[in-house]
Amino acid sequence: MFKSLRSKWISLLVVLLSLLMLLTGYATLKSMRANSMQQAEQSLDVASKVFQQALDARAAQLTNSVSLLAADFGFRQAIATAEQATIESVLQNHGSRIDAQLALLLSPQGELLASSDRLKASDIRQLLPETLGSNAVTDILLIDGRAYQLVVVPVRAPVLIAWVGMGFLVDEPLAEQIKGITGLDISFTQLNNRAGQQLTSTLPAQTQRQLLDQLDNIMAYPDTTHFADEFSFITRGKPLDSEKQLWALLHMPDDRWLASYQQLRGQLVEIFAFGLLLALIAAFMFARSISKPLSLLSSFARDIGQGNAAVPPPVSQDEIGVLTSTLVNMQHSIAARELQLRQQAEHDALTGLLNRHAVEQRLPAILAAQPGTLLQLNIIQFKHINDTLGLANGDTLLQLLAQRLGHHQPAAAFCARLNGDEFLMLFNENLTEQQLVDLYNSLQPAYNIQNSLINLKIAIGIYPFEPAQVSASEALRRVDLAQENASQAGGGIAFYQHGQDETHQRELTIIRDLPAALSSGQLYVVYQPKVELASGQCHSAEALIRWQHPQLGFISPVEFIATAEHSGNISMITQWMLQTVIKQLAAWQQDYPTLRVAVNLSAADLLDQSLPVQIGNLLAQYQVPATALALEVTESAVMQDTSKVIANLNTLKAMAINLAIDDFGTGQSSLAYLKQLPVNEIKIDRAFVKDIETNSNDALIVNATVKLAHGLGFKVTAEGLENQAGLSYLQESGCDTVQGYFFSKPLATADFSQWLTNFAATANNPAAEFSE
Amino acid sequence: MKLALINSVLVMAMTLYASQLKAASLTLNISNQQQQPLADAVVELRSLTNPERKPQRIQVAQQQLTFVPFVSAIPAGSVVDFPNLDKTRHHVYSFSPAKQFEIQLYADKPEAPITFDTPGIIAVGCNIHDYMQAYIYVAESSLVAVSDQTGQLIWPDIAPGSYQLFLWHPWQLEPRQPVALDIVMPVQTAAYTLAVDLTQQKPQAPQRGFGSR
Repeated sequence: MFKSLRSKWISLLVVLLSLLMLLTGYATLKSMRANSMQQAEQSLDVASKVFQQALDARAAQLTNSVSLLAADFGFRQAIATAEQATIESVLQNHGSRIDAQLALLLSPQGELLASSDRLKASDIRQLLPETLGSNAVTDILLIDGRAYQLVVVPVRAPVLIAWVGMGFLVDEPLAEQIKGITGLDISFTQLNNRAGQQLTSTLPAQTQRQLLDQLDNIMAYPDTTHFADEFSFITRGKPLDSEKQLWALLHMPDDRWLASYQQLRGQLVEIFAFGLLLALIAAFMFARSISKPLSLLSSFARDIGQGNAAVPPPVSQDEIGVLTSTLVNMQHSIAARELQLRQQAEHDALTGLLNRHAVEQRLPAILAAQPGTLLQLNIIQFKHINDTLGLANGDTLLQLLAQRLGHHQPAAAFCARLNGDEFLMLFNENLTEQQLVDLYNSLQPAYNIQNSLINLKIAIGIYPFEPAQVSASEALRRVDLAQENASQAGGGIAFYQHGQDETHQRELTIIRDLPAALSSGQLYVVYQPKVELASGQCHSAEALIRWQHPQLGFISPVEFIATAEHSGNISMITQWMLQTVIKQLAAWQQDYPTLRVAVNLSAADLLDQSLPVQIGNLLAQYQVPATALALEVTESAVMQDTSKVIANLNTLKAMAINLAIDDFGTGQSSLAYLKQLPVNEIKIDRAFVKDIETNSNDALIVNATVKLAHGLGFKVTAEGLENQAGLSYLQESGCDTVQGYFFSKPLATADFSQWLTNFAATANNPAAEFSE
Repeated sequence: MKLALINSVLVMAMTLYASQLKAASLTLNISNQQQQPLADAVVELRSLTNPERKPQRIQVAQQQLTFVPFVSAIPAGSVVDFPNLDKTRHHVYSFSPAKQFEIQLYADKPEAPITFDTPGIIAVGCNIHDYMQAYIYVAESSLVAVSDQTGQLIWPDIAPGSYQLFLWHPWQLEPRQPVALDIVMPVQTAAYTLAVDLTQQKPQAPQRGFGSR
């Protein structure tokens, strides 16, 4: 919620302001309320005094009236008669003159003589002490549950002859009258007679009922102000009579004394809301003034990070400005260092030319846009020069060559050192033959290395290109192929020949697909029988590998085995071959216990010292006797590392595995090695056999070879017999076994089984077979 | 009281001598509770042996809107004139039980004096001047008098013998019981104390017109 600086800032400000306003508002309202309450109490005080004064004024007025009455001669005369009936009627008469509701006459000693309402002496007991004096007395009296303001005045004739009292009801008209003066609602009530109590009040009837519940509390504390939540008036009780029986209650409505408080409260809420709004706007704008430059800076920094050309935001005078300046400095530093890094990354440290990485970066755009010529240069046998002159001089030589390349005219678009002694030049035009020759010649003059003049053989591969035809990697490969050709030719210039690249692609495909092909059954084994001439029977065969590629179709073993040998994958094929053949031999053990199948080994296999152990493990695993397996090796394979190969062969021979030299007579045969080789058999190459019936030299060679081999104790097999005519020559020369299309082409497993069965059936008549 | 006791002893001692006395002079000094001379006090001496009564004729005038004198004392059967010496008329009345009378608005001298037959105290007022008051003490005996400003009453020629002495004052706080007085000496003096309401003053005419008392 408070993730952004802006929301944090706004929240902080709003919370602080709210707190401040709440506290201020609380304090203000509290003191305002106290003040209002004080004012209300003062109003009540004043009203209470006014009320008292009104009562006193009324009493004085009534006293005057009664005094006048008491001074009336006729009244005094009537009283002086001391006749009860006369006295009562004069009381009645004179009382009604001044609208008194009650009239009474007391003796000078305070005894009740007569009254208008048959009062009892106990009703006026409280007046007794007052009548000892000589002045008029006023009091509030409760008589028969009704309150009277009673005025008692001495009657003098001229000495005191009696007290006359006149009572005036304390009733609603009086309350209304006092309300008119004080502005407050007035209620009269009594302390006793609570049951069915009635108020005399100016309050509405509804409010009067609520007031009844408050009475106990109000009367318990006279002359104090009472607040009650459920009663919307503040009230002050005031006892009217000396015995505190009759009470006047003064009511001030809450809304009058609370009005200013409530008004202030409303204003405070408005001020609060307005202040909050202002604060929000201010906070928002201030936060924006911070967060906007920050977000600008942020995107600026992001642009720097992404390496875009970032335009810095305007630099202000505050801390953000400092940050901006820092970022700008950082941007410049990064740019400088990036330039330096790019320089280092793209250039060769030794020669200062571009490196391979830079070439790969730049070439695609150039190839896509324009025609031109790509040249790859290589120093023939630079390793030898390095070995001879030392690494430091070799490096100097490379630098000198690089200088010549760099100074050559017409200038190359760029020169690069790809690796070691390989250089690349790019021209933005198709060079003429003469220009190429000039270039080649310019590199020929001797290079001066520590006053020794060194001549170099340079091989140059050339690949002219048209725009948007090849990718960078293709172009580099093609010019590399061309340079390879030039190198193989021992130097000079070679153009890329169309199709060279496709052959290369096919090899790549083969290398790539070989492991999958081995496991998915695209490779399979065929068997070509070898027939023993002496017995006319077949007890052995050569296993040959075949590959049916899903896209390339049938691939010649010569091609893919050579490719596998180049790429170092041949042992993978040999392993597969050995396992497949030994597994098949196990299956044939029952039907053809004497069958021996030969597997071809490459030079790499022979150098692997773990080969005998692997073969032993396979034989043991499939429970195949070692005599059932034969291995064929070429002369050239043996020549690689003779001692190691011979040691391996000895181990294999000791395991009772039959060993043969394949393609005898075509390799770099060395008779010196022949006698050392621990083989059982040599196989005369088909080159000497296929035309034996027509070429007398071939027949001679075969004859001599058979004799030589027999002399050394080897069996001899002739390969590639194709017709009946050749067979008789081979029989004459003394070959032991013959292999060729004359007997059978290489056969798949099932077909070979079938062939063996058929051949065995006719084996009893070999002459018939051979003579066909 | 102490003084009264001394007097009694003195009277007892002089009894023999007194029996031969023909006439004596009696001086009484009346004071209030603060030992100040008390004017307007009425003293009645009732003889237990010789109850003679000699009616008198006095007057209670209305002068300068007051009754003069304030207090009068007469034996029963006396007549009182109420001459009006003021320019205004007066309406003199009394509702006292001993004598109720009314002399309606008059000037100068009323047609006839009022006769007071019944002993008692008569409060006299004026109906049109409420503050005007006067008291007339109607005694059973002829030996009745009012103290002067010095609180003194003098009977220069009084028959020796035993008397009951009644003391009254309009402002007395409570009625006083009669005391015995034996006159045995040719010149006899006695003093009496009476508690009165000290706040009271003699009625007086207001200084100016209406509105003030």
